[in-house]
Amino acid sequence: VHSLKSAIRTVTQTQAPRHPMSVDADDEEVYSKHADDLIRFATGLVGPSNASDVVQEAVLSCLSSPKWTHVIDKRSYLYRSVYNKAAEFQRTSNRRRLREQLTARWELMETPPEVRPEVLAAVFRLSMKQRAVIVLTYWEDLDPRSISRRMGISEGSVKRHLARGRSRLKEVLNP
Amino acid sequence: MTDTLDTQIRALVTELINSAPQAPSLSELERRENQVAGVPLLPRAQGRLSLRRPVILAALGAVVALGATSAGLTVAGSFGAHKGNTTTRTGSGSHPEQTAFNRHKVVSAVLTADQDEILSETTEFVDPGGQIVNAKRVFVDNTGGNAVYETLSASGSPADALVFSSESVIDIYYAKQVWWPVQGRSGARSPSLQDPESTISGVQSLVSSGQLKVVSRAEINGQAATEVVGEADGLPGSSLTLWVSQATNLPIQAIGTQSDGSQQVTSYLWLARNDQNVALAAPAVPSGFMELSGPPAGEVPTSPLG
Repeated sequence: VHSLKSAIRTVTQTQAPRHPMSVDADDEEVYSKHADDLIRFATGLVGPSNASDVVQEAVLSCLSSPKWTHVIDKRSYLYRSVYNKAAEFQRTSNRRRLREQLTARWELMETPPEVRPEVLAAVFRLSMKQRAVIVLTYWEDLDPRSISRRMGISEGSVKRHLARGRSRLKEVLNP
Repeated sequence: MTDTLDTQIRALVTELINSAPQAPSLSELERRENQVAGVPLLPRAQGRLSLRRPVILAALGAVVALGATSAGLTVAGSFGAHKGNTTTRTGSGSHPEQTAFNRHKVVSAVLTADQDEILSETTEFVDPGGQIVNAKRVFVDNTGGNAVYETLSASGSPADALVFSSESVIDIYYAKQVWWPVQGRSGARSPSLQDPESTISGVQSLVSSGQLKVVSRAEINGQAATEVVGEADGLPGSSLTLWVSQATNLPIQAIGTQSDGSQQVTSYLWLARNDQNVALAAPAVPSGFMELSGPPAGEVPTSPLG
């Protein structure tokens, strides 16, 4: 019964209708300003194959949210949305891959040749939060305080995830 | 060394980020949204339900049996020479169809277990000489949002435990009979462990990403219903072998081997969801233990996450 409830809850969440999306010039400007950074951030979280889907879901979710017009720091809001969609993607990607397998399109899900498998393997050994903090630290050169504001988590949490992420990567890179 | 590591990480991140696709334009996103809006989501969701139910029934029954046969918890004994897994290979070979099929079953079973079972995993760190130098045990209740990370003493009992709940995180130091709230840690709504192969999501990723492949069938510790699902060789200098129950499709053991011969052996138990097993992931502070405001002065226990 518990599992059935969970499954039904999942279905309900999946089917939650979006508010109609209304895009204005300000949205265009905000998105175009941050689109490249968002797709890179998403790539760091879920890899290049799935980054577009994650960004698409995140941006559409933001733009159709009633809260969007009241958001002051839209960049951070978008980043957090990308992070949340990436985490959601990680939870559901296996089901999606399964469907792809069943329709004989498995090969489409394989890693693009331009990324070495060991790179993805190393990054995927990190938790999603560790990935986010690592990417923001080593790609965007943000310090923990800035990451804290960007992601909406405490500075201590950022430092902890960074330390664990580095430690994990150290094991992988210097076995 | 730190600079070198930073350089390595920066190079790795740069390579990954440089593979980023072109960002879609907003008009492209709108177009995709309109396409998606015309496709009902229900078939996908229904597929999920129809997939899950049979697996739940099969997995629950089998997991109870698996748990009953191995419930002594692997590290209930003492440290010493690692006995290793008694393995009897009964075949070998791999072909794509078999790999895909097993991947499917394993991911389905793990996803189901994510909802229902309490994951118990015990990890032994074995040096190149075969001696167990450290052991940790974890109980994770993803549904309840509780988890406990224990460092085990030589006798197999917990020496220290980090206990996560949705409200707090506390550290219990059994040897000193004290406990304290852990500052700076938020509640663990989604407990995640350090080692990807030791986490539900990590196992999902490893299996579904194709890093693992079927290489042979085997027996482990006398359990006939097991098979080798894979050996991950994508990581420089290390390998991972994951053993999955044929009966339940759930991982029962992962062996990570470093280039120096040291190993990290993780044993999984997927415990049925009942009051007794739920309590394993939410241990209470033993009566008589003194509350402290922080770690005791002097000797500080090794963090179970360390």
